[in-house]
Amino acid sequence: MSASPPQGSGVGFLARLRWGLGVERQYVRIGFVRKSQFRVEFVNQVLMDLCFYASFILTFDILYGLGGEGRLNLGGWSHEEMRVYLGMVFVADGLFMTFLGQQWHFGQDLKNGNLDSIRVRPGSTAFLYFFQRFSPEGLTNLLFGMAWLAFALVGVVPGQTDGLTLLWALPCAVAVIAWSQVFLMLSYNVVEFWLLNSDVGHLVSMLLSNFGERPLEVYPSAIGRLLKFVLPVAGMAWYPASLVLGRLDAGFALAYPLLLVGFAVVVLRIFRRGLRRYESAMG
Amino acid sequence: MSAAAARGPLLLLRMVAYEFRKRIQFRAGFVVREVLNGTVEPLVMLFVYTALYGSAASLAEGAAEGEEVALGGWTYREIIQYVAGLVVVRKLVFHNRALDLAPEIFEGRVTKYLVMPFRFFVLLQGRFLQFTLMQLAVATLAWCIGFALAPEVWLVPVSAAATLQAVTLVLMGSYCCFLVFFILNAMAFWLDVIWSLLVMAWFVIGFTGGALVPVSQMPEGMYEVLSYGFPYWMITAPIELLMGRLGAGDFLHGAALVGGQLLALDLLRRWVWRRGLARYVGAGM
Repeated sequence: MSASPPQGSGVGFLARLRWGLGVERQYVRIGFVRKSQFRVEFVNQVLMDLCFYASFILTFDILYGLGGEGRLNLGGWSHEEMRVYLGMVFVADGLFMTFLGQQWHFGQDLKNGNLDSIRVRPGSTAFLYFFQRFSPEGLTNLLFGMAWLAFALVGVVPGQTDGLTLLWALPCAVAVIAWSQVFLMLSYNVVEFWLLNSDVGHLVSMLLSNFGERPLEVYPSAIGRLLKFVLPVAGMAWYPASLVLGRLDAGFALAYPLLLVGFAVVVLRIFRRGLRRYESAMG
Repeated sequence: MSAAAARGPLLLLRMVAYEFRKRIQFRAGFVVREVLNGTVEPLVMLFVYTALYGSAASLAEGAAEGEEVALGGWTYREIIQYVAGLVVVRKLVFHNRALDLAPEIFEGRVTKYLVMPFRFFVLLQGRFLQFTLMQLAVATLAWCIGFALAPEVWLVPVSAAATLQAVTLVLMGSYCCFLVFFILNAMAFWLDVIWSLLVMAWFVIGFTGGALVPVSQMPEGMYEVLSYGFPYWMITAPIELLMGRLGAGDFLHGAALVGGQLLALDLLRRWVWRRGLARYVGAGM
């Protein structure tokens, strides 16, 4: 792999992608080496996320069970559909924990001037910084999340969707989750450029993640629209689950990814602008 | 009173003042970490409950929307009061991020405290007291704001005695949390990383205490088991006391249970600390 990303206007997207994947492969290798040294910690982190998943599953099992099985719904989502929704939430969480764990340190790193070594490297600062901490335990939990999603889908497939639809909808759903997670994470963190190490990024992340972990139909319509069209948290679980369950009309299903692309472009521009404020010793 | 005994409370007061100074340094961070702490989940659960009771009301013929329908023994109005209570009560519960003992152990910095002429634990108790005083002020402010905005639905304590009982239980439970987090931090004598244990404990304490669903709304079997633990008496029970769903007899029962667990945790804390120090070499782990 070349140390520098392919440069110049004639260089195609595929060449840049290949270079990016090469960097990510090295991050994966380092992640496994690092974590094999901390075996107890590996188990603890897997258990930690399983506790998180279990608390979600139990909470909704209790809530739906309050009215007698199969009677209550949450904003039009039945218990079976909610299980699929939770599957998408777990996959989103797994992807986040696997690839984007470094974001928890962004405010502190910005304050301490720790971005210097990243900025002098050839390639996108955002990519090189945020993807540097690959987590094998996150990957393990991602597999658990996917297993839950598969279990949940078995419960709804006969009545609501079919295997053929799942064949194309499921990969699309996972791609949308990954895309949304990356650019939402970036949007939460850009705040730190202006409010240094204030934890505002974490608060916004926690706030919006919490909102996104429940179907948007439970919120007042203004909040629902905000989460769909302004800060598209809907891409984390609502859109993927709705797509897989056939709850969307074709026009919206096709148009929404374009909105996510537009959001990514805006966030990247703001990030670059914020990066210009970086002065090595900001604290 | 000996001079050494008199120094203890003075040192404690000095620690409280010092901890306050540290906390107020970063204003934006202060608002985020201390004021908005514990408000997001209750807010989201309020929306979830509104949708759930709406669904239940539509199933129950003749019932007004969202009202009078009881789910697991809780009406919609009671659930709103419970969520309001959660916003206030959770602010008082000691948070794991307020204790940073593990890095001190891991990097070998505990040595400097061990040579000082007082117990190391008093420094951390100062942290607990600072947290509690700060959060008492924040919780009072949160209650006042909530009451000013929505007096009809906001949780108003049934009596001064109930308020006193509820605050006592919350603070006893919060001290149990403090001890649990101390013990987990002390695991740094043996483990390389302990943050995942802290987060796991936070999830478990929150769920078993009723941070998402009131424990008394859970299925009977779960309620029976969880009502023995201090998390229940720290979150769900105090709110029920404030609402008048539990009485003085329940308070005494809960205080005895939490008191017993607090003593057991303190003994465990002493034991773990002694065992840990026995392997501590003062040069980082």
